[in-house]
Amino acid sequence: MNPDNVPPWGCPWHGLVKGARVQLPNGSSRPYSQPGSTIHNMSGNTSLLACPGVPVVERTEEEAAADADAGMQWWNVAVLAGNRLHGREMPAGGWVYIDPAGDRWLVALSLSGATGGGTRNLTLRRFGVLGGAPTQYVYSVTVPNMGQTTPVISGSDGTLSVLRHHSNPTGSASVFEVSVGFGASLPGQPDANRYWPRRPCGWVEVRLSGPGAECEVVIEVLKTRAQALGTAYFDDFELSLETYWLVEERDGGGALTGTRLTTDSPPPGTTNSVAVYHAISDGAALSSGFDDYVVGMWYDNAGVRHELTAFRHVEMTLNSPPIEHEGPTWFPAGSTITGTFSITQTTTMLIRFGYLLDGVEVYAQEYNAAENAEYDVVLNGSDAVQSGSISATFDPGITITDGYATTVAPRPPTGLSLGGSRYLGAPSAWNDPGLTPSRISLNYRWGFEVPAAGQLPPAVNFALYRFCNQLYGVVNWHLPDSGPPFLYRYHYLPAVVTPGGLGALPEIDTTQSRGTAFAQFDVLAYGSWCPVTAQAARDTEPVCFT
Amino acid sequence: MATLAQQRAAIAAGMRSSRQGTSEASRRATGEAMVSRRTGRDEVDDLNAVITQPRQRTTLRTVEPRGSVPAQVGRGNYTAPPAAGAGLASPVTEPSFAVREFWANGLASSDGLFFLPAPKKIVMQDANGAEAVFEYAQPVVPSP
Repeated sequence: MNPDNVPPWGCPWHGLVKGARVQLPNGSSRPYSQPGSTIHNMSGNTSLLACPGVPVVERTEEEAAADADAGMQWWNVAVLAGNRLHGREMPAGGWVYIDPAGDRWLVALSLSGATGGGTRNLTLRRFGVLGGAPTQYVYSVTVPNMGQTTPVISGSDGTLSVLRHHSNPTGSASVFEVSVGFGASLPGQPDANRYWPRRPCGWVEVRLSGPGAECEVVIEVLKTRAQALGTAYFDDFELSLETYWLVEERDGGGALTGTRLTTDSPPPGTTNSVAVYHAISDGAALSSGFDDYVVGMWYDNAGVRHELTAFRHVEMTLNSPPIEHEGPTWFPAGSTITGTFSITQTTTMLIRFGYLLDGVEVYAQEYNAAENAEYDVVLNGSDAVQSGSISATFDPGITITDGYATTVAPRPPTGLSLGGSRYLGAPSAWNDPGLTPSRISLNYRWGFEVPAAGQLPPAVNFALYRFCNQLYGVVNWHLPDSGPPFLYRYHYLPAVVTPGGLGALPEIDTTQSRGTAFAQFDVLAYGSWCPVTAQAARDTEPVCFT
Repeated sequence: MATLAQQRAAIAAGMRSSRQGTSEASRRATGEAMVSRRTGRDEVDDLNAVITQPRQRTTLRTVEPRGSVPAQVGRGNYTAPPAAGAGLASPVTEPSFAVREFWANGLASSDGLFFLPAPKKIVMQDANGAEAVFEYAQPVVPSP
């Protein structure tokens, strides 16, 4: 592009920007303006900028050695880091379009507030020519209705925004994310949703073609809200209830002759009560979750658009045979009602969630648990003793054994329950896609550690996490099991999803006290992905490749 | 027998030779006598011949003191050369940036995103008001 005798010029400083310094390949660093955003998971956003036909910068052996010593890299491409190019802030939401003639244009387009459609101005302003007044063209473009009416999204604050998410290397296509607000985004405010403050609910693509002076602009809705949220499902256990009744029997004169224990429904007009009841399950399964929630879109270096979807599946099985009863079934009037009712049951649970890249599963995090339990109810007159012996194994996690015996006096006429899971809670119905954005994180009591005596294990929030527009993963947010100082553990797992597929980063595992404040998520992780070197990085302070 | 021309040449050479032998020698002798009288050279030579000159003492070389050499300041004053009759008279200034011309293709940054304009023509004016036009070559990109 330049004559051979022109030395390279531009910005040779490339690397990870952290703490307002760029980390150079020679191990040194130099001051650099830190890309940032009021939305933390946009701080590390990157997009490749590549002008077609720009040759690789050739250096002699001596020049290359001098470059390496100085930590300089003469790239023939650039990285739009956050909203900065070579450290300089770009106009909000803007990007660079390289037209077929190779001329560069700064694109300005705001789609916020346009989810219902209409017209907006798109401005192309000549970019990159140093000196002189820039040429500018303004186009009135039609914005289609983005299909954001239904379904209603539960748990959100209802605010919608439409922000540029990624652009292809020539800027001829940019994908915008329609997102809905969740929780407060300002640190210091109680907020359990802050870790993903704006969640996707639609996708729009802006395409430019032709020279800047005669540009054709097309805006297309890629995913309406209903399409972006994917599908949700809930299939409950198919259980059959068994009940042991205590039915009084009388003679022809109305005198009480005794009480019969029976599983038959009592005839109308009789005096009866329930001794015990139980849900029989012959290995029944419950499944609940969502699929195809479009959480990310980006272009590869060849300009091909890719789609990242998230899923979460919870499957439970329950094997709980009918009650085994020992004791009489007829109690003459005046006798004591006795009997032992026992069940042995097994419950399993599989929580599985992760990501699909272009429809192919790239990362799934799994949590398995199995609980074996024996439950007894011993009737003794008007009282009863309930007891249980439970063993639950968590993977990842530990095995917890527990037991109890409780006297119930008097036993309620509605009966005592046999069964149920002590540790494994069944999920609620998820068959509404409007619930999905709020269900990217869910709390489960999980046996990562031995609970306090008589206590259940603390709850853990298993959450999908966006670090930036091209880096996704999972965080386990361990909630405290008692009062102040509310020790929270933030565990960002090593596996991450990048445009290159599944990767791994050093895990972040931090425990912090929140004093008297409950339910704050304020150890946020920041991440970035370099489209040139295909490196990924993650930290507890803003980072961004440039 | 010699021709008439040869006879005339021989006569002329004889007359010239006779004149040189008398007038040149006498003029040289007269000049040397005058120099001798003015400078007194002959008297000095005579005196030197009768006295013994005292032996001259040789002056020793000055030894610089050890240690740092004190700073020495040299000073030069620039004297502008006079304006030449031909060429440009300094200062040469650009009356108007607006008339600059640039080549369509400038010098691109390594990533191709930024271009420094390559000047094509710049019109300058020297101190005498004479116009000087600088025309620059177009950056030629070698074929790949």
